[in-house]
Amino acid sequence: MARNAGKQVLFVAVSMALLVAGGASAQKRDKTYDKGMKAQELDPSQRGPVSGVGIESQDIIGMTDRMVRDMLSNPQLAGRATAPRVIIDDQYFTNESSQRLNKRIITDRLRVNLNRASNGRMNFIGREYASMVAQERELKREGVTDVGTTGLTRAQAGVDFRLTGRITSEDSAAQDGSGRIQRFNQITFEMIDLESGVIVWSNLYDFARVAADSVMYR
Amino acid sequence: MIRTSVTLVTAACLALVSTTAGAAPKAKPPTEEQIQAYLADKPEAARPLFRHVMLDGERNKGLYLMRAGLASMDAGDFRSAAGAFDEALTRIEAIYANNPSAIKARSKYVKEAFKDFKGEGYERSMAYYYRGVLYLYEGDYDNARASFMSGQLQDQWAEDAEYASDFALMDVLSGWASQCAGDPGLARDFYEKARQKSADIAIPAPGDRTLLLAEVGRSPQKWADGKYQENLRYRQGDMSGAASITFRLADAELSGRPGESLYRQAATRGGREVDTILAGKASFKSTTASVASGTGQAAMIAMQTSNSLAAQNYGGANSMAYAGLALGALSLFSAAASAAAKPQADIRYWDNLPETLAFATSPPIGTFGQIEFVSATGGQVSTTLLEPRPDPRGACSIAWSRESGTYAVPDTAPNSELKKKS
Repeated sequence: MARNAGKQVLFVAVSMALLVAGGASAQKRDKTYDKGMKAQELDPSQRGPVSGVGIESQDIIGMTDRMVRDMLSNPQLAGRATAPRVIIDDQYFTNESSQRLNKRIITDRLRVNLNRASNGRMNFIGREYASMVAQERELKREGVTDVGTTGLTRAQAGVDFRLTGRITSEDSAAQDGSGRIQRFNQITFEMIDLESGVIVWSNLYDFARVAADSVMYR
Repeated sequence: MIRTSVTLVTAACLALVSTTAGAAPKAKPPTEEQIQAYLADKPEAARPLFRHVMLDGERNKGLYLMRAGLASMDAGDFRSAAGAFDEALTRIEAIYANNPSAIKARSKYVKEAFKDFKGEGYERSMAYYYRGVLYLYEGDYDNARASFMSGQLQDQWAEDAEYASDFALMDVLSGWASQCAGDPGLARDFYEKARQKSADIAIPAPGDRTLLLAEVGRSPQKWADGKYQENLRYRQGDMSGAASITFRLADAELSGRPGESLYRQAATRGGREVDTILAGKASFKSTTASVASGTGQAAMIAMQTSNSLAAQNYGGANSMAYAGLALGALSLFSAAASAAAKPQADIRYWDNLPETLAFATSPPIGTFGQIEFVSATGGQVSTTLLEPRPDPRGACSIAWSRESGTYAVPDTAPNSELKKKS
């Protein structure tokens, strides 16, 4: 009898211990980053460990690479007998999405990669540097400096095409208690003929992502 | 056997305590030299708050960044303010999936306040609001609009659909950013959304180019009730100061139009998903306390019965003693589990926020003036300089100000310390 009662005590104690301590240990905290983390290299073309539902590095790399290839395969842009002059900057590239973003990260990458890959099939004009160029031209013409080695031009370069674009997004949230948020992102690119207004090239990049924050934040 | 059983119960309790201790992760604190280097370019008035950004660890970093960002705006240091809000928003925007602190905070034995602070919906919206205002000063209307749109999105989780995404001022300001960016079509769309959410909200005229923003009162406060402080509640902050605002200029006088009450935004949020978890924790605490009490009494009866049986030389005394011991162990175990359960709601809050946002818009104003903060009885509470500042592009002007004295807060944020014994 005494032995049976002892077994019961043992059973109750061990069961309770497993039940409660087991439930708690399932919540064990990951201590990997308690002491901080040394800087480490990440591949920007891959999704990183910290990510959300908006535009990220892998999107920027993916979309700019795709746009560069598409523009270079367009004969109206890259197949002309005389290389056209093009402006690619953020002046007419608008962000209408709900994501705060430095647009230049997209337009700069596009311009640099296109400039390198086009091999002279397109010439790129740095209109945002127009005042810097004007200042140097004035110094040359006033004789403060000599004329340099590439010669003088009558005026700064006029431009044939300019990139425009728009970033838009549509956000939605599940109302089923799951806390999921979803964002559809669309980035359009269009090349405008600055004489006629004709859109000579267009393309877009889009993607949708869904995520849910921990229930502790809902 | 009895000794073995007692040892096992003790070990189980120790295991429970050791696996569930709610101690915050301890990182090496920064040196005073590192702190001084960090504070060097921060405005004097906001330095005590920025010091906490360095010292308080990740758990409270978002809260202190918000407080320090707003204190920097008050001090007129918009660069420091923008940096602080950018850091805070990075934390708000991070998707906390499998986040260790959040997972830990779900445990029955860890307080909700163990999690990293992101704030409730109205606090997150206000972080976006201030970042949007700073973008307006910079003339970066795209990112200003993105900030106000995100501010509205933070308000989408209201329990009652009527109050979801009803922060109409965010839509007005998204429209304003579009208007200043030269996109009247998009501006109209946002103004229409604002009207749908609040029929009374003032809509800027197409020719308006000056935005005047002012704030009065003190932030809503969080508190907790319920048997175990598991229910998050709000109460309105001090509104004993100004009740209305007049923007007075040499050639114009504009009344501040109601923008939003932050107490209304906080209080109409309704139940949170996390409240279900806290209710579960409270129920567990209550149930285990009842079990401890019930089994404790039963153990006493069993032991008394055992003694009686032994005294009268009846059989079964030993069995009854063992039963009493088992019940006693269960009682102790349940009491330990109940004591360890922590269902308390997280009541940390952003305390240098205002209570009410007001605004006015007008055609270009080229003069200085003053903002008059007026009490409910019509008396002037205070005045402050009104200085609309044109953005670098010259498209629009903006002035932002607060009722003086409302933004003074203690260095330490309310309820931000994690007390283990409560």
